[in-house]
Amino acid sequence: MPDTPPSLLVRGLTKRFGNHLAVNDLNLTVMPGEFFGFLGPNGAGKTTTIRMLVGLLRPDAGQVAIAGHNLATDPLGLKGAIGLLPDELNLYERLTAREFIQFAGTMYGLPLDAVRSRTEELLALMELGEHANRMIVDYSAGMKKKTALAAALIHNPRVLFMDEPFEGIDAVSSRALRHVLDRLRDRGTTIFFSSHILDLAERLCTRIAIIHLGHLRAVGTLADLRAGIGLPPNARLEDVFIALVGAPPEKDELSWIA
Amino acid sequence: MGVVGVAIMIVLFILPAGLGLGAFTYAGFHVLDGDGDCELLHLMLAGVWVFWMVFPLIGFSLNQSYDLTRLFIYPLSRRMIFVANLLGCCLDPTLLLVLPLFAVIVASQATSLPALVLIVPALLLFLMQTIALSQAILWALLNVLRSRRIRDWAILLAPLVMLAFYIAPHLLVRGAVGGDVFGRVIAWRPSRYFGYTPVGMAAGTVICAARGAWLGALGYLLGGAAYLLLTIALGGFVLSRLHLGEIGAGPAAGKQEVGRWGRFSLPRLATTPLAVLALKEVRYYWRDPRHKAAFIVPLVPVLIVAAGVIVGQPWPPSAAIIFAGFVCLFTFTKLFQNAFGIDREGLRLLFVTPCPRGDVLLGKNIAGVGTATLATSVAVLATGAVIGDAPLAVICTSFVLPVAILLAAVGNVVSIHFPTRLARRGENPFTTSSGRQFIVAFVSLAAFLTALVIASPVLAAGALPMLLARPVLYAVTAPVSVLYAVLVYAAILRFYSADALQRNETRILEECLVGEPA
Repeated sequence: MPDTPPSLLVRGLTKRFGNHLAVNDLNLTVMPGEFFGFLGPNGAGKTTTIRMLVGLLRPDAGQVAIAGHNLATDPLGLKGAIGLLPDELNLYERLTAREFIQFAGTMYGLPLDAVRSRTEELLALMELGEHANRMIVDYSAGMKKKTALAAALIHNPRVLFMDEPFEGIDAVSSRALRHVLDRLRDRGTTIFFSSHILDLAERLCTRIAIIHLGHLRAVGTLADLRAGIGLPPNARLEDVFIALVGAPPEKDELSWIA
Repeated sequence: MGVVGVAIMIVLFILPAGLGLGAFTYAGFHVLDGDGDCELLHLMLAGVWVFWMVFPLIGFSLNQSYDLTRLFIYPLSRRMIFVANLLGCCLDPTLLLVLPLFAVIVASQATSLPALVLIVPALLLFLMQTIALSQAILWALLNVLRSRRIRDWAILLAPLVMLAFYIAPHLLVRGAVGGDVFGRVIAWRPSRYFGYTPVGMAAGTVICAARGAWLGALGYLLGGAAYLLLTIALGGFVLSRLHLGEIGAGPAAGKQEVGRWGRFSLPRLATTPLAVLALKEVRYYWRDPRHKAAFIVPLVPVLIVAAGVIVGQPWPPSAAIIFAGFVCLFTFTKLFQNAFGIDREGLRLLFVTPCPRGDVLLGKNIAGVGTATLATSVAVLATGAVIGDAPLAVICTSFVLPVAILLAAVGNVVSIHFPTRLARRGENPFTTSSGRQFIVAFVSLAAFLTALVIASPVLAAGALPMLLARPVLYAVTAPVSVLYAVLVYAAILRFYSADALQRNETRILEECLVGEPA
């Protein structure tokens, strides 16, 4: 796809918190329809990166463009093209799920009829219909996650950012969600996906980037990553991940447990 | 709780209330004679007893540290948890509320060494029994108290309790000076109701010891000790049930659907981000108890003005109505001056949407101005009715809207440049106190005064017809005031606030969500 403009183009993205370099000179190109896995251990800079990409955190340096919209010059155009499922559940907890999803749909400029019909479909898909008139403050963590996900999907975004989307979701909803994501990808939606669940990433992602201590360690298909570090073709993503991120052997043991 | 928070709470609330109670009791002991002392003592100790039963129930909802089931995962015996909990309560700053009262009782009644030897243990037994019983009640009701609805009600009750703290001493002191309050205490005879309770045991010991009736004092003291033992046994029983999960376990009650009254469906008009944002704000005012609590404030000026009428010292009508209006509007400035802090976690969703930032501010302001105007108008009209000048109140309400609009215009600038994180659920607001909060408080006051300066033409338009004794002029000055306010608001929004919000939203997020999970 050499002539197709990328869904996500990141150049030299950098963020520093005091003396801590959270993200250092990050460069990424993600094409339409890709299911892009953005992986790394805790504190690697995944969430910071996603927040910068969607305009919730100001980068110290670098350029971001999504679906042709530059974050610096056209932030609202960029935000209209994306959906976000954040790691933390950023919900208006005193709204009901139905009200919250409708609120999100209207804020993205959908007409009222579309807001209403899509809300009901999303509630049914996420199995939230029975609880749709209860305030979100009374929901379990999994229900909150599904509500947030519904709000991120309602406007059919061109690029969907998901930070740990499967955490706290039961197996049934997880399967339904995977099905929805597959259909979105088939229709050309780009999915930028961050997770600790490596098995899932291995199964879903067309390309993977691994970040550690703010530095991008590798990016490519799983086969590319294996080849890049000399692992055999049957090596799992977990092996690739450990090889790239590394872990000092002494961290595997506790001194008082023989 | 942080040191600054504790200091603020002690200086502003606990010490004044405690010293007030002590002073009232001291005055009573000097005014009353015969059985008067006994009745007053019953009343004051009963007040302490009831306060301690109720206070932890409200406090539990505001401060999660009251939930001692968190200790159950550690290898601690029930006895250790029980004793540590009682001792912890004895170190609670609220104890300062009763220390002045106890000091007055000892100083006034312990006229001899034997009396002192009996009175001090009696008061200690009473205090321990009170604390132990309040804890036992708290543990027994733990599951109910964990309910979100109960916690919401507690947040609403807290400002009412604070209001009572301010108004009750005011009325007590006025009554004490007039002399009739003590007469009413004797006439009510609290000893009839509390004589056989721990209150009666403590009061009986004190009175008998003061009168030299040593046998009677000893009898009451033993009664107090028996009550304490009984309460400890009860507390131990409740704690053991709690430990075994026979009470306090299971899902917390209160997960109910939003009632029909509160569940406005998406109306046909709410088809734009502007309208849906305003609707969201109104829903939050209605459902979030921390917002709803603000609606209690309009009661304060009305009650203060009413108190003046009751004691025969009424305010001048114009002063009373202006006072009510400004107190209410000042209270509601938080809707304008921290428009993003009140969004809390939802703020990330708001800022990730492509809604034009001018519409974000306008949507919030429509809800805020409407709410502030309505609540302030009600307070002004109520004050007018209380003071007996309803026509003046009606005229004043027509100037509430333009002032509210101008407060919103200035408030937007403060919201953008001085956003403040609000305490989360279960987090004590005093713990979030910091040096920055004092700066924000100063800025808030300065912004309010600035808004009033900008609103001076509106205030002049309100005063002019009155000064010229030409009420008919209000037909012109009132709409012109609204027009002036709308034009000023639109100019500030169009030429400054909308762009400033766009430029500052990442910083606003950092300020409002500081301390939240990264």
